[in-house]
Amino acid sequence: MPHIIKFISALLTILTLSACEYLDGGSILVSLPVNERFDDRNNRTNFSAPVVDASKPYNFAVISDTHYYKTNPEYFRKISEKVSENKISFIILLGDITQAGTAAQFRMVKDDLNNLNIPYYPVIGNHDIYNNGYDNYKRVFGRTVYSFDIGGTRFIFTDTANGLLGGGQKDWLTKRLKAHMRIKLVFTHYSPIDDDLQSFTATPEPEESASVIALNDKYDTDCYISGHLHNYRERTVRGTRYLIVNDTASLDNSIVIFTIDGSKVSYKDGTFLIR
Amino acid sequence: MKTDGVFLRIFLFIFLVTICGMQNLYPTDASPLMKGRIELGLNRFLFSPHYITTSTGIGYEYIDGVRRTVFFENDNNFKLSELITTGWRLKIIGLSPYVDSVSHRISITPLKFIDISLTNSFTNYARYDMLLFDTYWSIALKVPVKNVSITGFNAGFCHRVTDYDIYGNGTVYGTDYKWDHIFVYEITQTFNIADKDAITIRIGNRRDGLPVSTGYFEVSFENVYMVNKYAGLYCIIAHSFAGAGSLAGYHDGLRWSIGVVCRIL
Repeated sequence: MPHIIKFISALLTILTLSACEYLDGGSILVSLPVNERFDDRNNRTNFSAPVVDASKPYNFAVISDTHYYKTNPEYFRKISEKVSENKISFIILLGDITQAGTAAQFRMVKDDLNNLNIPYYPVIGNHDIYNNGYDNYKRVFGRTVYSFDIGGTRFIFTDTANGLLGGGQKDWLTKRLKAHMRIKLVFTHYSPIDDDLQSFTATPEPEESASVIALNDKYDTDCYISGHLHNYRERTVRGTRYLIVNDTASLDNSIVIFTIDGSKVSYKDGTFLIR
Repeated sequence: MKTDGVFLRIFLFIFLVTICGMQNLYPTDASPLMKGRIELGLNRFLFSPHYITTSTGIGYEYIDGVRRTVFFENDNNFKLSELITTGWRLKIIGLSPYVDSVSHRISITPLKFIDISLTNSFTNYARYDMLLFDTYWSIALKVPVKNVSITGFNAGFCHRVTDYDIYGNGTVYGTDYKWDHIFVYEITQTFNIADKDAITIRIGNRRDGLPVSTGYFEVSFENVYMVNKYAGLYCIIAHSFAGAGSLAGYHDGLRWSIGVVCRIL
């Protein structure tokens, strides 16, 4: 009899944990590795550049780690206010858009994003690939690797949901960075520079981090913008600004507004980047 | 109810019972600590060379998007006494060879089942003008089962300084260099499958014995076959995984190496 009670208790615990999406019961399940998502990009919807008059200054907002598991109208109301106040042209989401990569979560966040009525450009994060989340991500958003140009500014979006770029994507990134553009901005989920005390989801391969830093230095990347850390960090290493955007639940720096004015990039009250 | 010192006494009791129990897993040997101090004297406890092991080999390493290279490795181990073991390791990579990493380690074995080790290493990312300096300390607990298998639990911290630009003279923290503190762990399982052959399975976030990152995960199989008590062959095959939330996706890494082991008694 005690064995039956133990078994039922264990079963109930497992069912409870699985039902609670916030606890990531399925996070140990493996999704597609980065190379396969990269190879799959040509089968997926591409993103077109937003319609922006590049001859005039324009603004865009960057947010990260929304971790959507239930709708959050308050947060999107704040974004909506920022959009109106700052004349935001488009929004970039730096990954971990959903908490556990489920179809319901992707649909929920897409509905709330659509209500903003401005273009948005997503980056895939580690939470988005949980529970085989890439299948849902590609249906809702499309490809995970893309780029576009607005005037002399190149926007590059990479897939580091596994913590790494992988060989094929790194070659692609190199080709995108080689081009002669006035401004080059890279948006991704993982930063090559971790926090001082590494977590278990830190960038796994220090040699790849070194290669990304060297690549940004060689091809004059202006700003490498990422999320994942749930903290705000900015560092300049070998001429490239590495910016980590805070998560949406935080009070400070959870929405970073960039301004592009000709060959100048600025964010956060007059911090200018000129390479 | 008066409880002064009760918890301390319970802790000491459990601690001593555990220590005695663990020591008794080695029924044929007295504690090296006691043996050293009482029977052999302090000098022999601190310095009474047991053996030198040197292993030399070649291998191939593939990490997707990072490296695809042959390498040469040399590892030397000196068991200076029951208490102290020291050694160093050199890894050279590429067809136009250059030093990839150099490390020096020292470990003390105060009790048969505990190793406390300190490793200093230098990793050279010459292609990217960057260097890593690691100081890595760890404590390993070894649990033998009747000379058939040994299970090991190893945990520690690696304190890493990354020099972002070896040609730059800047000294600004976070811009020119940065500290990282990395939790390092390893679980090992060794099986003496035959008199002269042993297989070790290692699971942890180290590569070639050196910490990689907290998010790194590697499984390696190491087989050492001793032809006689002085010489043998070794073969290592490792596959690395990495990624978000431990296993959501993987980092495609593969390494193998083969070589010879010499032991001077």
